[in-house]
Amino acid sequence: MIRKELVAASAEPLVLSLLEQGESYGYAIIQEIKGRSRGELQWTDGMLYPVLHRMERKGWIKSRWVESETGRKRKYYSLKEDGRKAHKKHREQWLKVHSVLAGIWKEKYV
Amino acid sequence: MFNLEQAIAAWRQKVSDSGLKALPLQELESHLRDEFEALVKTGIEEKQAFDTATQQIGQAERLKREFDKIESKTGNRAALGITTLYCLVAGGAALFKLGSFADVSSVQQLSALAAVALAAASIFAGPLFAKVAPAISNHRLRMVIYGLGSLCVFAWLALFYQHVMTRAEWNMSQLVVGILWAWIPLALLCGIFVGMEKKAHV
Repeated sequence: MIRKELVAASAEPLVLSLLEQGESYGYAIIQEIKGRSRGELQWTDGMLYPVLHRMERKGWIKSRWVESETGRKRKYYSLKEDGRKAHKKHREQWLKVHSVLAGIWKEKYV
Repeated sequence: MFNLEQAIAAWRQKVSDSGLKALPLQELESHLRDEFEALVKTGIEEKQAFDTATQQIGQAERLKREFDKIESKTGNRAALGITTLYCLVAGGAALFKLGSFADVSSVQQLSALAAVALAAASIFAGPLFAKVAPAISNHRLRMVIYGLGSLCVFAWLALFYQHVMTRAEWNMSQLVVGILWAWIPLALLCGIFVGMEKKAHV
C-alpha cells in the first residue's frame, strides 16, 4: 500500500492526467485509479471531491451536470487551458523526480 | 425491507443535521448511488452495500474539514474579511469619532449605526441568498456576473462622489453618515458573491 503522504501529493497530477484523456466524474475517476494501481492507491472515496473542487477553484478544470438516460445526474469534470498547462508542469516535475531516483537506484543496484 | 431512497434521505438528513451545509451533497449522493449499485452487483445484500458505501465516502466531519481548507483559500473569506474590517472601522468611527463632532445630532448617530448594521447584515445575508438563488455552475458566467456587479457598484460610488459629495453642502458629520450609507451596495455585493460561490459548489 502506498503511503498516504504520497497518495495526497499525487492526487492532482493523477486527476489532471486522467482528465487529459477526456471528461469524467468522481466515481469513475476513483475506479480508474484503483484499477490502474491494482488497489495500491487507496483514496477515501469522499476525499477526491475536495481535490476536484480545489482544482476547479484554481481554474484548472470545469464541471457540468449531465443527466443519463436513466435520469441519474452526474457531475462531469474536464480540463481547461490552465489545467493543461498545470498538467504539463506536473508531468515535467514528476518525470524529473523519477529520473533522479532511477539514476540513484541504477548506480546502487547495477 | 431495505429502501434505498429512504436510506439516502436519512443520510442526507444526518449530514445536514451536523450543520455541514458546505458539502456538495448532490455530488456525494450521486457517488453513493454509483458505489451502492456496484456493490449490489457483486452480490452483497442491499443494506450492507449501503452501509459500506457510506463508510467509504467517509465521515462528514472529515469531509467538511477538507472543504473548509478550500474555502479558506478562496477570495470568499478575503471579501468577507475586507468588508467586515470596513464595518468595524466604520462602526468605530460612528461610535467614537462621530460622537466627538460638535454639530452631530443623535439622529445622525443613529443613522450611522443603522448604515453599519445594514452593511453587516448585507454581507452575512450571503448564505441566505444561496438558498433562494439558482446555482450557476458555469465559472465564466459567474465571473462575468461578478464583474458586472462590481462595475455597477463602482459606478454608483463614482456617481455618489460626483453628484452628492462634491455638490452637497454637508458638514463633516453629515458627510460621514452619507459615506456609510453609500458603501452599503458594496457590502451587499460581497454577500451575494459569497452566496453564489457557495451555491455553485454544492
